[in-house]
Amino acid sequence: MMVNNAQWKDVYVQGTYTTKWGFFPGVSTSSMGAEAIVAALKDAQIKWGEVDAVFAGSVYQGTASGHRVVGEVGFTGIPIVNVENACSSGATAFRLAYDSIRLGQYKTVLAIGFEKMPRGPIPSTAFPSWQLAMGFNVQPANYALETMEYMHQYGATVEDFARVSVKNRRNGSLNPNARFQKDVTVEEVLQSAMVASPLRLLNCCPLADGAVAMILTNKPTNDRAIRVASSVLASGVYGEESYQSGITASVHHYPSEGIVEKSAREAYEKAGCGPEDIHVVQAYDSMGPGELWDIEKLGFCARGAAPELLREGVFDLTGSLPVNTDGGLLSRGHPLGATALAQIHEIVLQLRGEAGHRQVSDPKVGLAHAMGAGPNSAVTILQR
Amino acid sequence: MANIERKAIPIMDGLWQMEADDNPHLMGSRCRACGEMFFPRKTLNFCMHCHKESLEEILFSGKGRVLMLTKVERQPAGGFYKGEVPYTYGIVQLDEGINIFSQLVDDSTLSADERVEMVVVKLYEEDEHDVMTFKFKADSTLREGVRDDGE
Repeated sequence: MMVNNAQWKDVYVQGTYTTKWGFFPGVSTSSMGAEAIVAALKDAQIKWGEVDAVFAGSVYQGTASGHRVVGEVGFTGIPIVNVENACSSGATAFRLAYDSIRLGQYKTVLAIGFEKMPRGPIPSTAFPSWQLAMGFNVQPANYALETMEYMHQYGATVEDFARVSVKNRRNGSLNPNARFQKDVTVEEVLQSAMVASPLRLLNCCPLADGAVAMILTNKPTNDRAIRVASSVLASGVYGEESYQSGITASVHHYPSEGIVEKSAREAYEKAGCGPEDIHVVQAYDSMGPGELWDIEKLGFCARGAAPELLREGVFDLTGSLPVNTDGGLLSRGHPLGATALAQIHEIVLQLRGEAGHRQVSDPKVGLAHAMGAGPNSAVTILQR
Repeated sequence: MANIERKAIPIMDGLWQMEADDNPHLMGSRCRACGEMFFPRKTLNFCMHCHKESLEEILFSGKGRVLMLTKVERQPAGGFYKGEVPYTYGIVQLDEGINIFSQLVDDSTLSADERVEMVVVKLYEEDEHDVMTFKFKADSTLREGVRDDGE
């Protein structure tokens, strides 16, 4: 049950920083994370000693990884909480930081996400062991099944999915921190190596190493602070398929509301706005087709309508609803623990008007959506 | 040449069993209260749908239809999978009304919506063992039927 409480504090993102994303052999996770913390403090114009708590998201970095990162900056006696929530780890760390301030526990909190990725397709252990032994953990294959279902239901085509990669790689070419900063064409996507039909290499996000740090506070001290309108996490709805988590749909007990729709509805309710009020979106595009059904499930258009709106340019930087302005996972890359926080970082930059060549026109409200194995669905709405 | 007897072992106990008719059947659980079904069978007697302690073990018929399928061209990461690559993978809806993930017997003519039946086949060899798995393949009785009709 949700309750409203007049005592709750407003929460703001006061400072944020992302490292460049790519492969950095010889650079440790802790030094990437520490670089992000020091730069975020500078961006926030606050001192390390003012931070009351740390929530640290990562997936593959092992025990007490947040402590190793903070240890590089210097322990100050504050609590450090390590957060592992698959691809939503960064958004979950953000949500915990947000809640701890909103409920009055702390004044200034650091949310951080960092990752150095194992090489090759992601060895997800979010599956039972017998499914791993049978080869059911290939995420492009699980997305391929969902993609075929989407094609069957709504008539979407491989050209539609290729256009997502084309748009996001074009945006990524304007993002100096993205792993890939080069345009691709529809033809290049359709001729890239098949991974799991109908998904090809250029329909899939690349891996990368990276770190993002963000300072949240209830007492913003400059006019660049961005208000957090809501931050919602939903983890699993009974009966809904989550092929990325080894879960098939219930045939007789399919839920009336899916996990993405639920998290979006709650985020809109708490923020007191609707999809029509959102000016810029970071959607979850680990696989290109996923961006299309994500846009639909977040309520921005009817189910099945996203491919046509994409063709019309609605989701371009110059369109009426720019989506994945920093290039998304498809360009930026996917360091699991950092990804969801990077999506929030981009919304903050856009709302501040600091997104450089990829800045969209005067956005006031933005939404970031992360999901992934578990399943999890995390929606964050930010407001200038 | 000496004929060495190779022992066949299942990839996991409790996924399927052979019946007197010599046909393999997937083992599952069904809720007596709400009718929901689960695969693999649940060892904990608790229905994930209605939350009652009313599960019973059932055997599935092993027939159904494939809903969607893909061909996996890359080696799965993590070293858990020791079978051949590429392989065909998809979701089968059993006639009892439950959707399950399964590999499909490699058959370039198999398509979505086609009727399939369960088989137990070798996934890989390990030491002196054949490690067996369940898969689904095109329903042979139907395919023969089609051929007879066509002639």
